Amino acid sequence: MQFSKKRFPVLEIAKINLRHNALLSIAVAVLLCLVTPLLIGTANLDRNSAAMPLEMFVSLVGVVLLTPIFQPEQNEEIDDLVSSKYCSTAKVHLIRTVYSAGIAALLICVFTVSMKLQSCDVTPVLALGAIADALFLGSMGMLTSALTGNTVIGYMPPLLYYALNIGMGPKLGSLYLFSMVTGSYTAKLWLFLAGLLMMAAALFYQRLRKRMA
Amino acid sequence: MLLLQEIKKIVKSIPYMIFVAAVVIGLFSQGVFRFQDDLLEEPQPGGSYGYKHEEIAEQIMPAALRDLLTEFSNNNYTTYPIGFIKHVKLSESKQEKMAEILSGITGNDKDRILQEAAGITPGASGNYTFQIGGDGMQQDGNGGFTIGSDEKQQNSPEKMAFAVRDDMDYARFKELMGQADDLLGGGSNYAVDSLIGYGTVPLTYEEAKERYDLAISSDKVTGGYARLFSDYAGVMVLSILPVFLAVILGMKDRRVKMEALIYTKKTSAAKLTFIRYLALVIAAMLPVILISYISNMMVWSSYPGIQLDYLAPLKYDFGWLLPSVMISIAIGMFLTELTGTPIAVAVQGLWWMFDVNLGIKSVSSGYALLRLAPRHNAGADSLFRTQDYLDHFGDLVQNRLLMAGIALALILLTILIYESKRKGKFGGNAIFKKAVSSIRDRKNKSQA
Repeated sequence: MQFSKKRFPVLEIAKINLRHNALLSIAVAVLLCLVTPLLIGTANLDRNSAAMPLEMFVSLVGVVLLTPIFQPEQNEEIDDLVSSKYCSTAKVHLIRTVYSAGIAALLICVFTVSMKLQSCDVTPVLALGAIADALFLGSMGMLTSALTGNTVIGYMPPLLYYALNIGMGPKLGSLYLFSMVTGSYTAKLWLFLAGLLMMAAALFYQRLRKRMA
Repeated sequence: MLLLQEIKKIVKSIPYMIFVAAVVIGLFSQGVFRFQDDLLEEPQPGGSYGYKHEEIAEQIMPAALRDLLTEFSNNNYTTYPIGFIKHVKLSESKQEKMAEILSGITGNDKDRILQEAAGITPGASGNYTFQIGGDGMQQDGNGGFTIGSDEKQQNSPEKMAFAVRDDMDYARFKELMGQADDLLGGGSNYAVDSLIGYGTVPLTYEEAKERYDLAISSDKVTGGYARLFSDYAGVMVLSILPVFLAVILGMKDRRVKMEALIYTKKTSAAKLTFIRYLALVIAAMLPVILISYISNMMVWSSYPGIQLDYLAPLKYDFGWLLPSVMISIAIGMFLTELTGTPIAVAVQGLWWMFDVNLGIKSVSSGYALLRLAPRHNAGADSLFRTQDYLDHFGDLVQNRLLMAGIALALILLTILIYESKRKGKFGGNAIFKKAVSSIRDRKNKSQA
């Protein structure tokens, strides 16, 4: 298939990346969603209880899907090869970020709907709160991965932060991940904004590093 | 010396520095550097010393019945089948069986219980459930409970009293509650082993003094703090973070294309793999040993005249924490060698996440056989719960030996895989990659 140099084949790039780079991550994220109901009750829950599976389990799909955004180019040979192409790597990273965040949001929404069908008192706000958690944790992984040039290291800070939330609880204030369990929703706005900021920083740093190389 | 070289290589790497920073942050967040704010106090006569659970039938039976009635009337039962909270809603037929159990306990007619408490008329359609409990349920002077709600009072003017029947034997009560637990799928507060949770009595001065003396004589004070440190360190950092070191360093040879070169070296697979494993374990344990001592030393000067065990942190580091580090690194090395991918991070991450959450119900002393991070979350304010620790010490030893054993078995398997690869007999994840690429090729061909 021939493309004009002026046209940027967004859909084609997304499709190819989905097939070659994201399949394993998507499979792990789906597995996480499927395993969650086996471990924790997802039926007949009131609003605060319904937040637990969403915040404590399903939001981890963000780490699984967003952290490996830069992984393919962390292999030097692939990096050399893609650098020779006319497609901007930064734009490819942006496409990957958008579809990964989209898939994370979709999985969370599907999970929320499945909880609704099991007579849980879930609302769209709960789903949005879980998406904010997912973006925050995932972007933390993305940023670390960009800064260190190693995706595996990228998984470390989000998991540590998750552990800190279990250990420290509401002491984390506006960046507390499990606030919806106690009926508080304001932290989600901060988590969402911080998530977007870290995502932008990761993409910007990756671009900067590329230019400086 | 190869071991020293490997250790140097690890401690100079960026992942190791991040690992150390993460360990410090994780432990700092748990307050292990502020143990001096949590000091043992000798109980004085006339004070309050906390509570303990005891199997007191007169206390357990009405309290458990009250909870079961509340949950029955709401048809919303809270259980912990494998540690996580689960809300169970019973089908109508199972609610009827539950009513039979309640009938056995209270001596009231099953149909009446169904109608009065759960708002179900047997055989009628369009049943309804209304919420009682809380304000609606009140204890009367005889240890029974009366249910009062506007709706019910409209239906029946007299209040219905529920109480454990006078001739109820505790053994029979436990049996009936066990049946209720089975009906709920297990893991409820009505399980035979959990009923003791309803029996709470205050500790006497003598008991509190005995616990204090045990903390001094058996734990020698520092042992209690070392155990609390191990509880935090195991669950927060050491059951998960070492896997990152193993995976990152395991994949480094592949990243820098050194794999084939190392295969040609004279060093045997067993020696190389084991030395690398040992180097990783030593490197991961170094900051832990250091921090455990810094944390423990904070309280040394607060106990003048008491014989302290200055080796306690070291004993707990090796006895309690080392097996967690060993298994975490072994899983990292084994899966990285086997698949050539960082899948070990996902595997260990999931195990750790479930282990952490499963532990929520058993943080006082949870040493189940397959626990990745044993829990004993008891500080000086609860006199370290030394007796609990001593009572379950055998379980802890079994768990730790099993984890260390599995870790060594995985390392043995890693050596075998490495040796096979060196001989060109095993291509790691070649089969997996081949399968995936054939699927992709097929798709590409069909699109062409």
